[in-house]
Amino acid sequence: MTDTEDLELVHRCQAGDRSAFEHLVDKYQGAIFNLALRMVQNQEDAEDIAQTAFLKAFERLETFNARFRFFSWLYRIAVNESLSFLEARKRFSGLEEADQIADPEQVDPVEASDLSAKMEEALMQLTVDYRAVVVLKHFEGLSYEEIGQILEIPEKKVKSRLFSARQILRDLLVKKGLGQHD
Amino acid sequence: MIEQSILELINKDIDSVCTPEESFRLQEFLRTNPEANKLHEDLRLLTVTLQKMPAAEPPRSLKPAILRSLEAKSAPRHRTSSAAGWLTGVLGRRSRLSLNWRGAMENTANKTPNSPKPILVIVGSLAAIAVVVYFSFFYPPVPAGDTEGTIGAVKKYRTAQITEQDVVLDAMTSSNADVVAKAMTQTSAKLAENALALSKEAESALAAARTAEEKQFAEGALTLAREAMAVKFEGAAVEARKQYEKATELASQAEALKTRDKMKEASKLNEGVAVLAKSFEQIQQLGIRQEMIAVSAEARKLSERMESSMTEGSRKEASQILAEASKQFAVRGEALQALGLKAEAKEILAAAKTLSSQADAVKAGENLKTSLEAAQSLAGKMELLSRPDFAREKSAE
Repeated sequence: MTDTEDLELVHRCQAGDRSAFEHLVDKYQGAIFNLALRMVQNQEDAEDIAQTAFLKAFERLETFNARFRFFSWLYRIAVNESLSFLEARKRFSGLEEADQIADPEQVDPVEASDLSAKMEEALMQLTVDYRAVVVLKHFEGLSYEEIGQILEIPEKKVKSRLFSARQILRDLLVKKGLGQHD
Repeated sequence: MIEQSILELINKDIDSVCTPEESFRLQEFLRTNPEANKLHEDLRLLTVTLQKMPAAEPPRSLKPAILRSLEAKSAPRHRTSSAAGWLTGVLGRRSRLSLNWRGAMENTANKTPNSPKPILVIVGSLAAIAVVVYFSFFYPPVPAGDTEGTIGAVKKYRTAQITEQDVVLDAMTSSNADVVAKAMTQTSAKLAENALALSKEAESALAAARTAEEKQFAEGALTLAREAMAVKFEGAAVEARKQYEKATELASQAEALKTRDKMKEASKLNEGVAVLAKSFEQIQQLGIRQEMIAVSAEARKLSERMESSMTEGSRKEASQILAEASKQFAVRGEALQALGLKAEAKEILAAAKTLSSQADAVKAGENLKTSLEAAQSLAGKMELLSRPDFAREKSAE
């Protein structure tokens, strides 16, 4: 489905057609759920975040600017929801962010055997800012520009965060015994 | 320690956003710097791993949960049918910009279907409008022909707006008074909202006015409409401003929609052109490489034949081999030149010339070993030319 079709669905929603919003949910629920899941690493929390993101999108449809792409706008809401969730979790439990690191030397090797599991663990050790750019770039396949629009940061900052995040991830994985390919 | 600019190039390469020049520069650097080469490889593997990580299926309960939430959220706001219905109202308002006051009033009444006494609401609204109209047009009384009267009216609206307390509603209950107050507020908002259309209507009415009373009424209406516009832009009527902004945004959305198809078409064409250009480049690269591999194989064959003829001591055969090879190389060189591949053509034509002079030398009785060495050197050179790096270097040039 193209941007034009998205826009048409949005206009139908704005005109009161509930089924058009259902189409948008069908189309983007997978992406939004996975985005949230990569950010918070918990199925139930991700489901809650995705639900809230769609609900907020529906409520704010009138503010959607057709000059932008709908999915970017929706992603922005979902990323913000995820960040708010993580912030709240950090505030209330004080556990989450304690695990996050900027220096891979501080990390002990983990026992996880599966590559994906190790990668997910490494991802969760990134700060949320770094994690967000990695998720948007490598799981959602977005361009620097689109990521900048979603996170509301300049493209230059997207690149610098992404480059740093990747190097940290690489160092973490080497530490976990992966990436020794030579 | 890897330089920042190289780190950036490595990351850009990982994201496939390097220009050919940057890519060439990076490859050159990676060839000579093992540390950077390792980092590049690690990051490439990391990216591949990230992209290969499986996506989770969204829970089946997600969509129903979203729809239930929407239902629950929109239920209390049910003035029409849903939150989206409210949006319909907003859009609808855009097309009702030319509503007259009666229309505005009917709207106001229709928007309160939950009221137990709709007739009272209408009567109340009429009373409120009557009061608004009285204070708008007939208070203070404007002497006929006195144009300053309108200026006075403008000052009045700016300094003291009619409030709910200005309306005396002895015959109504307090709940009806609330309804009327609400109706008044909504009517004021409507006046501000439709100010432009009202202004136009008032101007037409003024032009058509025949009697002094009609004229006075029309002038009053015009003043009121202009005042409503002033109020709107002064920020007093927040709702009116919102509607105005909304209309502007919708107009820009409509404009964006109108041009989107054309832009999409242009973008598709551009993409098509880019794909064709890339394909052409790839075919050309592939062609050069295949050609150079063939030439290289021939050169090696020539070298072997020369070696064999030297062993047999056949000077005549060696001369013939060199002359034939020279001709073949010359044909290939010319063909490459015709294709515009000047660098490759130059190398091969030079080789043809060397072979030709060696053929003459052998024939004239010079040392066969010198010719063999020349053939072997030529084969080595051609093999070098057929390496992928050569094609890439030429492409970068």
